[in-house]
Amino acid sequence: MADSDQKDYNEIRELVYDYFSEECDIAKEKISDTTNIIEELEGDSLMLLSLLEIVRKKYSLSIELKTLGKHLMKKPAHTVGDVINLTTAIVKYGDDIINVEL
Amino acid sequence: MLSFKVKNRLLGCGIDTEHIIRFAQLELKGNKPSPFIFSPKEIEYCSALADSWIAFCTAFCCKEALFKALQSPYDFTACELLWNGKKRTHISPTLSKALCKQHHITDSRAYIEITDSGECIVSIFLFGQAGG
Repeated sequence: MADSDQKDYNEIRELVYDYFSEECDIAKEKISDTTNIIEELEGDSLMLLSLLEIVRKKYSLSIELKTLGKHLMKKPAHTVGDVINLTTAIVKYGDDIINVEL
Repeated sequence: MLSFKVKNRLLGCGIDTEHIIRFAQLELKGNKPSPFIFSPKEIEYCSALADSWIAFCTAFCCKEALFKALQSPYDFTACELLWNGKKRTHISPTLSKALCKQHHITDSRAYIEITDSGECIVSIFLFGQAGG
């Protein structure tokens, strides 16, 4: 992984952990990359969309929801780690995410 | 013998529910309605209402219910629902021409219920031409 990619990944990882910690009212230390969003954090689509809106604003992205939906149908995000990888890919590839094999 | 003259056929239906308080919390946190999810018309209409978070919640539920009815991803801004302020009501959401063409939709109806315990339930029914 290139240095800039690693920096983005670490920044996004921090952002995702902070977000779920605040939204789900749970200590950050209790969250790990394998934490299941639905079963363990009681997360849902509104939570994921709100997170992606924060990411869109922060990185000035214009990815379409339809593209994201198509990607999620191919590769669903079940865990916190999945969301970090998804978010990193969105920041890196934008709408091209649909053509990338992750 | 019963006979029906069918003009429209049911293409699909979907249902979604959300706690309204979550949308009030988003507003309290200062989060603006996302243009990723809501159309400019919805944002203008819902923001002007006294119970704006209920209006945004009904619109969001409608979009999620539509996703389930279509069983395929679409841009949420292609479905607009302008809540009329009633706790139990039927509304025809506005679907974009492109979305209707893609899925052969000729008509759509949404049934909205706001419960006393603060949940919003929206079911949507999609129709296409009979024999189409």
